[in-house]
Amino acid sequence: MDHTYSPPGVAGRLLLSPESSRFNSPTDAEFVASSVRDPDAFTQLFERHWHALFRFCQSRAGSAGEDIAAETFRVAFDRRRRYDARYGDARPWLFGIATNLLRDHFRSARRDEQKLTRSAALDSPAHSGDELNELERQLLGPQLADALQGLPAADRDALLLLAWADLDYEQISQALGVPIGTVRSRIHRARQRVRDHLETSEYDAARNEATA
Amino acid sequence: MSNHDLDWVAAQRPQRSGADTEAHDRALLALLRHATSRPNGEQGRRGLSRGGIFRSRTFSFAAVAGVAAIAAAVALSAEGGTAQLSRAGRSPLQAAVAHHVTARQTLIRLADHISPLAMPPGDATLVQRTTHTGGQNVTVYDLYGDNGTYYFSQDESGLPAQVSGNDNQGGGQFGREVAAAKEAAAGNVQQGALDMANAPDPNGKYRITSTNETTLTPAEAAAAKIKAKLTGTPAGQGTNFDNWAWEDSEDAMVAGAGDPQVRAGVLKILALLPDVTVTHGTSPDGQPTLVLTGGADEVDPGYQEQLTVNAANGMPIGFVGGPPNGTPATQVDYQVARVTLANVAAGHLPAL
Repeated sequence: MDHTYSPPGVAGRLLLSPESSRFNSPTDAEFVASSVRDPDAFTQLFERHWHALFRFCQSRAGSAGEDIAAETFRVAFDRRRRYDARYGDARPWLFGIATNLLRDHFRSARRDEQKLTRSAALDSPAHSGDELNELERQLLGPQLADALQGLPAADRDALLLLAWADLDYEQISQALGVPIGTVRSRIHRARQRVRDHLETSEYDAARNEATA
Repeated sequence: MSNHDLDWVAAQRPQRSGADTEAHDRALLALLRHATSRPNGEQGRRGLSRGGIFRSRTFSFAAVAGVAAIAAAVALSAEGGTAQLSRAGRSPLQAAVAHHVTARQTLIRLADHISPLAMPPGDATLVQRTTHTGGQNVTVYDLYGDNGTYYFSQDESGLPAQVSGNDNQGGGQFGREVAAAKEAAAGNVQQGALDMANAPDPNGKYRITSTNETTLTPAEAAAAKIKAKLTGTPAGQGTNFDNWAWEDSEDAMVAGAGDPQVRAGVLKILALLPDVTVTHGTSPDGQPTLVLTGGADEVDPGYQEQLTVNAANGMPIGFVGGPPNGTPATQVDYQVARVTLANVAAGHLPAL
């Protein structure tokens, strides 16, 4: 009796060539243009950018981030005819839509908070309308929330697009629809605030250590 | 200017641990539903005005409901036959994506059901393997030790001598596949899948280093296939990862059949593959079954492989390979039992 191993009856391991490279693949602008006639083409844009959008929205809005990221693509689909084809990379466009939706989300949360504390609000100082609310503070975490406290929402958005979405100044300019000089000013203010916060924190820590 | 402030801001970014894949599928289905519900020439007028997020949330719930509806449609049309998605109004791309999502949900659901099961007693899995080919039935015996050993005999009575003589023929091969499945079962599905695809290399050399580098996402693959059908251009081939992960998973499913964790891990890995379909059925002896079919991406456009498992516990029941809709080239039945190596060496074998 032959007891030499005979392989189980599962079969063919194919010798496929590595996945063909994605060099020369269409630009985002081409996908968007194609999607005007062929809506399915928009799914290619979705596949290319979903992960980054989802992560960014989740980082900023927690569990609501999934809905906001999904809404971003729906809004983008509806606006695809207005996409500026000069820009091959659609990330600034998508992150710009997402940033608007996030801002809307936080404004809505603020209104809810104000309703709940209506009587208390009568005694509160006047609000500018875009300061950090409690929800956003929680999502940013105490350290970053302290650092960004008092900054206009537009400055916070610009800073987080730079630090969390990895957009550069020009892309942030496209995303927010403002001149690049405005972006530089916003980010400069935000970074100065962060540096001040870090220096204060380090000073406090050193002082506490010295007095301990 | 130093960038330490920017580095600090970047480091403050919350690391949310969401189910990215499921979120992806929900969002893609929602987008497809939205895209196909609107006339081609209609300009979007949805503003970003107040309440936008609440619409979004409703939209998202609708997407989940859509998945459930599609799943229900599949279930209704799949009684004993291949699941077909033929609802009017759904684009081919949408149907393909939905089909994949449904197949994956079925596999994940079964894996989650199996995972808590206790490991049966014994230290080895005995498999009676009957191959039907050319009008003949050939039955052989595979014995997979939990310690990675493997023994083979063409008749059951020959196994004791193989074990007592320590004629281990595995060389670690099946042990690596089984370990990869366990890793996937433990939650490291991506790593387990990569380990599975690379398991046959005796030196542990990774030839496939990333599922992302070498494979399309499930939705991309589904879209590419549909596009190919619509345009008449040849479908893109699957990738090394898809093919190797499928083949090795089949081996692991048989070699680790006695271990619920291995079966669960294999199902989770197969759920990653883009062209795997799942069909509900009943075996000749009355067991409820799931038939997992590897398609063009996993095997070959002109050849398919089907692994049949028990729908309640994932135990492998059979394998069929051959041209789609043609006469099977190979058909295999499995009978599985847990044993101890000591009992087998002593000639005490279960009746299969």
